Amino acid sequence: MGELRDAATRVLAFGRKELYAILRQPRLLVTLILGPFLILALFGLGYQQESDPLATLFVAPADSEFTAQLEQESAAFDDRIELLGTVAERTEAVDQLRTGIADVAVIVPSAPIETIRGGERAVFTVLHDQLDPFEQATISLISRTTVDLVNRRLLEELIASGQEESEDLEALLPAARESATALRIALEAGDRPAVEAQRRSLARRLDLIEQQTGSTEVLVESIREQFSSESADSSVGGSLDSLGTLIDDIDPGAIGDPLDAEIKGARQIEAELEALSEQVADFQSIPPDILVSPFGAESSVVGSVDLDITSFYAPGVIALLIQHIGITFGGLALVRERALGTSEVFRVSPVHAAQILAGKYLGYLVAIAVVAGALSLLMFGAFGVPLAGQVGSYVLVLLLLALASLGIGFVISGVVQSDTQAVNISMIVLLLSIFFSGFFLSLERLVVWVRSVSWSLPITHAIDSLRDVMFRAEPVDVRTLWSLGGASFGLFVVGLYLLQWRMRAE
Amino acid sequence: MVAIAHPDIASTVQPVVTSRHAAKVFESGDGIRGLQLDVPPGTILGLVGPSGSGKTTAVRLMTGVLEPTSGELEVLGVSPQSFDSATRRRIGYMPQTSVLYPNLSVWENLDFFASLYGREWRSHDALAAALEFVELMGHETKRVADISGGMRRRLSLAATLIHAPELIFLDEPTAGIDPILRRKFWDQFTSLKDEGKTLVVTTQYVGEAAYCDYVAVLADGELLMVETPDGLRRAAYGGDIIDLELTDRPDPTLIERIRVAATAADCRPVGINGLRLVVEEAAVALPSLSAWLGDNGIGITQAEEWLPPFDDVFVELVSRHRNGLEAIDG
Repeated sequence: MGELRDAATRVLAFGRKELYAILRQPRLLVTLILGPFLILALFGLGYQQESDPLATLFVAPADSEFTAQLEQESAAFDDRIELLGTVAERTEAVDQLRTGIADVAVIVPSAPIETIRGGERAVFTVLHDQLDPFEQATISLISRTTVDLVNRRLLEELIASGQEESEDLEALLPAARESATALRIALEAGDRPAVEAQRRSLARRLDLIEQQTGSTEVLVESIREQFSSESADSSVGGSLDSLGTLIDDIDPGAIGDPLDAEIKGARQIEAELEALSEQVADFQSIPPDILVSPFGAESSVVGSVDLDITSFYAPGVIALLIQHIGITFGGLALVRERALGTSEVFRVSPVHAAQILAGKYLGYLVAIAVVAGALSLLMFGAFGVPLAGQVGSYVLVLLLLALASLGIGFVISGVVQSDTQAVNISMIVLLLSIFFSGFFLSLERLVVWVRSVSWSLPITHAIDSLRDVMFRAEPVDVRTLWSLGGASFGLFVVGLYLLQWRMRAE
Repeated sequence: MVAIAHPDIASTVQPVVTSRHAAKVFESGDGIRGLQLDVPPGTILGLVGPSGSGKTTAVRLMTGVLEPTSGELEVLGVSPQSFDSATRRRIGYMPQTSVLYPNLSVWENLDFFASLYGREWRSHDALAAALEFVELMGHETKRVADISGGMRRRLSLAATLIHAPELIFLDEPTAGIDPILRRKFWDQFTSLKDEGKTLVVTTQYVGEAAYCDYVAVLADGELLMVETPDGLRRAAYGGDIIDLELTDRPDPTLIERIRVAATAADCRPVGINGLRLVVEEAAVALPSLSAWLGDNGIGITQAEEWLPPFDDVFVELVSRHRNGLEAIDG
């Protein structure tokens, strides 16, 4: 009992000693708390979803009519493109790229209309001077999007023009339908002269309609194909052709015979013209931009709160910070004892390695809890980062991460010879964590075997779990508990072995 | 040279430290060899020697920090490598450097080191008494980083003594501190000895050998001898030393006559009229020599026992050791 009490006294003594040593360094505490807070604040305030507009030059012959049109078009994209003007020579554009005056130079295709008429795409070549692969990808994306927008705008204009033309068509259709009705009535009455007169009138009006369709027919046709389940036989052109055939089939010389077939044909003509009117009305009623891009896309996350960029990175920042503090504290702890010479006193005293290690864990955990608590308050209070899940789950993940991080630190401390080595290794672990923990690069972007490196890092489990707890209101999953708990225990055992070995070997 | 255990020590009951040819040799070849000594309880054993002579290695062997490469060593009846908690509680160890935490206060440091030995030593009274003993009361709230080097050494001593150990190893406790404080330290060591504690103290200050009950002289990784301070002088010069100052300059014949009369091992001129004799025991030889000089009409202005400074004694011993090694090598 007495031995147990003395062991507890020693553990608490080490914990108290470490805590006092940290508390006596207010600058260290301020750095630990305010440093990450300011970084997060700066990131939150300074990050912009969209990059600055690209300073853009066009390269085209001075007399190119297309250039003026392009410049006019590009004004619509002033949030992405800052137009610097047009130069005639590619070399001039390259010089401006190299000197940083321009971000992007767009080489306008020569004779684009001819190229398109030749059945090929007229390609814009985009030059830039960016080395950053992300910026390169951004420029490529903006280029493609902008060209798509230009293409869409051209299509919209074409459709608007077609809709204007279809107004004439629409005006002709009622008269044709009246003629068709009159024809049917004449047929039903067996009035041969009237049938002949109405047949000619209807044929003439259908000729006019056919002349008016032109490009409108193509557009109406394409819309009908996209939005209708009708067969190709009911196309505008097909309808007009069949109307012509139906009219031809109505034989004025057959009056007096049973006229059922002719009356049926006249009714069909009426129905076809009715359908054509509806198609034209549909075509006119849909705005051109909807016709060009009839489908849109919207995405939303299932079971998660809405996140801004600062909130998304907040779990990663606090996890990285706790890991770094834990590793640094642990990494320096035993090295400094050795440097001070206290290890020698411990070896002569009745204190055991396990008591030293447990005491240090205790002291550092309290210090980390203070820092994590302060940072969490700032994070949730000042930045409004959401905590959708339970506080207990959040605390549990941070606790397990702190234990695992201290374990890593003590293992480092057990193998290094100096505090410089300990700090260097801590920095390497930090770098490893930044790149492979999913902090800012999604793990899905890593090849499968590299992901195993990621999942071997305790912080990867912690960030993953913190995001689930904070944003999806999920509890800590069993995998996280086993991973972080197992890592903490294993690292404690290794750290203890190394400490005992050091105490024996030195 | 063969290491010697002092006969007085060997005859005492149950030594606290017993070493039989214990040695620790590092890969570099440095270390200590042939450590042969017994330390009786309630005494102060001084380990004296120049830097690199093996003093700290010897202490580390005795505290169990190092394991001997050969020989046998027992402390408090067990091998230092087999110390259990109970044995460790009986030992106090003050390393060469001040092992204190600079960001903690004087009180917090002492409290921490007391905690290593159990809760009972953490009482306010025990801590205050330890600080009182090293005259640091009134400084307990100061950070160690802000106190002087001497105060740190005193605090280290308090931390070493806080659990009232019966065997205390002090590795150069007086290094780098002023003579007044050094004297205070030795007063405290003497006081501890008077309480029945056993102290093993290393020092580079050869003069401090005078405060010890026994002195182990180390040089070049070897234990040259273990002696009382007086015995050390005799060992260095072959006996006690008497200085004579004659009224006239002695010729070689007179010098030889005086040497024979005093039964001196050696007699040599010092200065113009002076002679230095090495005798078996000055207290016996001096009265008879004075009488003989008077009977033979030889005038003297001064006749007294000369106590050579321990620095000289030490230099003499080490030089003799090194000359012996050279002679062997030659």
